[in-house]
Amino acid sequence: MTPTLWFVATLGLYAVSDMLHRRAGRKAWAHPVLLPVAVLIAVFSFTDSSLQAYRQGTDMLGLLLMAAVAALALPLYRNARAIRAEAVAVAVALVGGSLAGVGSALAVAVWLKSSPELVATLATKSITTPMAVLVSGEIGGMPALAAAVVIVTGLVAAIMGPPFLRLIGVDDDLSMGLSLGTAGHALGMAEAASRSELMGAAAAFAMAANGLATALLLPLVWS
Amino acid sequence: MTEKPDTTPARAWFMQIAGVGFFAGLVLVVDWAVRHTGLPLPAPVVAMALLVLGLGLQKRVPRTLDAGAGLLFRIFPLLFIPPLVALVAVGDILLRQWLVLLFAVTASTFIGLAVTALLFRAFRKTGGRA
Repeated sequence: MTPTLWFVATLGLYAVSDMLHRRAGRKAWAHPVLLPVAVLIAVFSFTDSSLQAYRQGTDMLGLLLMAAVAALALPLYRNARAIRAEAVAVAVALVGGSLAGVGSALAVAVWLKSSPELVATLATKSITTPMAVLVSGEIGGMPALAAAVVIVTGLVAAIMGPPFLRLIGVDDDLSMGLSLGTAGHALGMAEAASRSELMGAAAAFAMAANGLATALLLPLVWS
Repeated sequence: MTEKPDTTPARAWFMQIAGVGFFAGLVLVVDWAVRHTGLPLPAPVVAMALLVLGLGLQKRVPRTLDAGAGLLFRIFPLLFIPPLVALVAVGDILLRQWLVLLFAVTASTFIGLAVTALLFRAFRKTGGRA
């Protein structure tokens, strides 16, 4: 298939998936990325299709993703007061949540006697993809795997995060947004932004603060 | 805000496209600047921070930007499909290390979610619901 056809196929699959998601009452298991990703991964796994052509065809979506992250400045600006009012609680939650998420992943990696490269890769699991790739390379990890771990972490947080948080009694927008942004970076943030403006703003702030702090501190701590 | 409300779909559509164009242009400029300065920072996050500062100075959100952001947020999940499909490229490592990776992406993500939310609720001033 040509790059253009891959682009059209991605849009078409997403349109169908989004319609099914709405019809299913926006249930987590019907998240609109699942069907297109499953179909496309199956196509690339079982046929000789070129991933290079797919990447070329969907380049534009990469630029729009970066634009969408920048656009989160709007809900962040509008809700800055609500976040600033709880500055201490926000800071404690971000530091604690980030350390707990990364620490638990590292603990099991060490326990299962994983290679030092894999341990270093997992250390970047909760920061946004471009930063994870840079930082994992810096501390001796595997950048390609780091990107994969980050994106799957985000998918798990986006799909299972909101029902899980409600299960443990967390149902307010600010708490949910901070959690989704800290543990689920951009994908968690996208899910938060689709639920409410305050949740999206809190997630955007959490993702940015967590990502910047980890990117600056991790190489220092690791050495 | 002094602008009149939009009445035509064509104008609303134009504002959305112009808004998206602004965000994309800003990210490209910031990306270029970040690459040339060698800073280990992601361009979209730096662009977001600069935009918050800019809005703070202007003290209002232009309607074009609002329209563009609305369009981008509606298609947010679509934008994650290419990076997820690209996982195929590292499929062999994922299969070899599946146990550690499965734990890293599920249990530790839940732990991160729970600790963040519970610490925030324990330390916030308002106590009850936000």
